[in-house]
Amino acid sequence: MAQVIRPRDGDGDRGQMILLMGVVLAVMFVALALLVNAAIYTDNVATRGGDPAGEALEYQNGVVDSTEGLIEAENDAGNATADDVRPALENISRYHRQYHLRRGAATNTSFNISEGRNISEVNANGFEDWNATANTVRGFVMHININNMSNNSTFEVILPTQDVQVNRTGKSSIVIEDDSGGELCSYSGTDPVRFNITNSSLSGESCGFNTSQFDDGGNIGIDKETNGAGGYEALIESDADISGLPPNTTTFIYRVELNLRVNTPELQYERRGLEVVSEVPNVE
Amino acid sequence: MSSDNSLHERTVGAKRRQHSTCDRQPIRGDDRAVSVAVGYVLGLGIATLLFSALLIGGSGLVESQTQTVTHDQLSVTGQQLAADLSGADRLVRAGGGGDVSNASLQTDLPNSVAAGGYTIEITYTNASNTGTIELRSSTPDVVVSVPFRSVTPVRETTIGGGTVETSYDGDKLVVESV
Repeated sequence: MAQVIRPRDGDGDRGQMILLMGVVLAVMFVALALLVNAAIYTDNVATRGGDPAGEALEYQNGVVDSTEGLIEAENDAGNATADDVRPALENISRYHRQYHLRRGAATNTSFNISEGRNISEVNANGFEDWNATANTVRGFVMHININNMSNNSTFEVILPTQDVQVNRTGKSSIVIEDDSGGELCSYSGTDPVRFNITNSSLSGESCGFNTSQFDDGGNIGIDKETNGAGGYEALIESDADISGLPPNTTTFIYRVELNLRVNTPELQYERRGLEVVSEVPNVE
Repeated sequence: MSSDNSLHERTVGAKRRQHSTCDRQPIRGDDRAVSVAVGYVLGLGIATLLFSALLIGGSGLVESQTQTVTHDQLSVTGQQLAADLSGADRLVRAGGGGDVSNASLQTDLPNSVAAGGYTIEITYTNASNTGTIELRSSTPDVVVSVPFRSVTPVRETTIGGGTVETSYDGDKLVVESV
């Protein structure tokens, strides 16, 4: 090792240690370079802003917001039907599909439209007779003018769970009875009295009849209608023929059920039965 | 007479030049007071010392850097998986009702880190809606814990590195190697 200059006498096997150490150091430097590269790549990965879930949520929120806006506008215009909104919903689906396709996401939207009926009468002496099949009942509220009802007269409210009788028992008093004539609740006072059928209360007091199946569908309506007096409003999910309902009845979009699907290289997402419910104000 | 004198001067001058040349010649090849063995050992010792210091220092540097880089890689990998777990949780809980019939996210995690292969252990506590992703490598032994939050329960599991899929089975989020 003492001499590193290649001697001229042919003895060339010296200097191996330097050679060996050179190789070892070279390997060490390569290892360090690889480590630095790994560190740089890790920092690069750490600062990437990928959020595949965000893409799906953006798509879902976009479709829902667009659908809500459409339903609100159509219901504000009045008498909206499923046929009115279907082309616009297809446009919404197409717009969002194209927008997200440009961002690398394949999407699809399908929908089911449910119509509703807003049935109402105001200041009536004698109600209309009607009966409709409703999938759900959002609100059914009466303001009964007891004075305008005939004494000891009864009109009947048909409900999915049980029918109830509204019976005038005196000049300013009524009793709510069940099918068999049993008293559920009563009121005595000034006109008009508020009878909230959807939450089973008469003038704010609980009335005790069952409303638990209002969301499960069934028949709803008014019978022995001529004995009734006052006004009411009912919002029901139904596609019943409007000609068989009171004259003031209007149609509206009750809800749209969306089925969404998003596929990207990193994400598969599908949600079925996403409900967009109309903003038609509930009856008061 | 004059010719004899000049001949004598030339002869003396030549002898002087020859003498001075003979005095300088042995200096270059002079190996007096030098031991070949001592010189060899000294040179070998210095070289060995130098290279040993380089090796020890270098290998220590490489090892410490490997540990640091491995820690960073495991940390970033854990954060990636935690982000996707939370993302899947957001998808499952996204408002509006309806049923999530399919929700799965693929995450491309590295097959290995600077220290080689590694394992991912996921634990979850229902009571606090939180969990921990523990990433572990050996040689050097590096352990990194990354906490995450998910309202949707997460199935506890241990998997290796590489591409993993986070999916919803209708009840829990499941993380599996693809």
